[in-house]
Amino acid sequence: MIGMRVAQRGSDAATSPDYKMAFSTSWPQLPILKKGQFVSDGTFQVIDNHGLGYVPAFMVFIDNATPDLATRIADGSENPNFGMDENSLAISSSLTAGAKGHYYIFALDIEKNFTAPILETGDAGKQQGRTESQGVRFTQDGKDAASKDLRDFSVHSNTRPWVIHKVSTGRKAVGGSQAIPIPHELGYAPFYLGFVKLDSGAFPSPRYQAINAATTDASVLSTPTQVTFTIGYVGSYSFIVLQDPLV
Amino acid sequence: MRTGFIATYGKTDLASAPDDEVAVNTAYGTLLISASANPSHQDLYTFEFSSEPGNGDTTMFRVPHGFNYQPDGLAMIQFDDELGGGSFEGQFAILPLLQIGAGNTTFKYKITASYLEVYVTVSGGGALTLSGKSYVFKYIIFANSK
Repeated sequence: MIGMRVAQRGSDAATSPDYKMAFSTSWPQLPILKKGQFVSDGTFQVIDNHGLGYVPAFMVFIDNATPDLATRIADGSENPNFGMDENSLAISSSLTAGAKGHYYIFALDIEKNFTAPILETGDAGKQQGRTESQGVRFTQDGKDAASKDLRDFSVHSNTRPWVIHKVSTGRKAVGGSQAIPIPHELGYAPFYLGFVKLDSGAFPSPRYQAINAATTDASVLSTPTQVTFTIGYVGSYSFIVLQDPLV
Repeated sequence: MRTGFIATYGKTDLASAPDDEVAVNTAYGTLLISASANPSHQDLYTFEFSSEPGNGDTTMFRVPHGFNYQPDGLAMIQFDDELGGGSFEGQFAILPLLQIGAGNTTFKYKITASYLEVYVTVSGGGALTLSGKSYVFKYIIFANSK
């Protein structure tokens, strides 16, 4: 065996199944390379010059959503206005001026196909018997390991990682509505992060936009056997299929 | 030179691995899931409408997250035969969903400093029949925030 596995309290890291683990280097995750906040001024804005040289996965949340100035992921009408390429994340001029939000940029190339093994799932005991001082935790640089704030940690055994099952890329070459299947073998309807780079979009040059929430022009649905992406436009797409967190 | 704790996948070299080959690096964070409800683990979160929302009415369920800040999170709903039409029955979609069905019903979610709330607003005459029906949701609440 190569790599590192950290078992939950009372389990053998060498022999226990995945759902008894707190962490394993066999689990591909979504490491956060960068995060930031933005306020739209109603014009084209580059909000993050990441300069990675590849197109990274990203998520955008709106922080002044109505009602109550609540937080939620960008909806179907907002997603087309956030565009990612190999160098930067930008907002199009169509995003409502005054819209506030934040974003994550992950260390995952969405143009590279990838498939990871399926994790065993089961009853992990829901952290039974663990106290604040038990388990494993890795703080981020400069943070105190005794911190009570989970945001200070890269790994914390009182949480679960979001594990990638696969990245699937392709191109829709012909116009007209088409349902594109992204098959998987998870056996349950998984969460997903979808991205599409339209040949003709809202940006000066084509960029990937998120497509996790449905729009009037596109929809994404999840079943135990596939994620189905339906769109009428021509362009390239990438879908990240996430494994459910272990209980 | 890299400092802190780094672990890579498989046999990838710790010193030279590109970022997308690194499983954990304390120089940056990861999405940490603090709570979830997943049908795959028989841990369903169902919500039943006890009455028929009228035109313009909003009804919701909420899940406390236990943080004193607004964490990030996601929610999905499973369609029944009425929400998305027969061809979508049983399939999940990430919220928010706008203008479902003839009645322009919306399913949205929001995260406040106390709760993840999924709420439904009926407009356009309430063409959907919701009373007495149960809907299945999946959700994930992260420890991460802006």
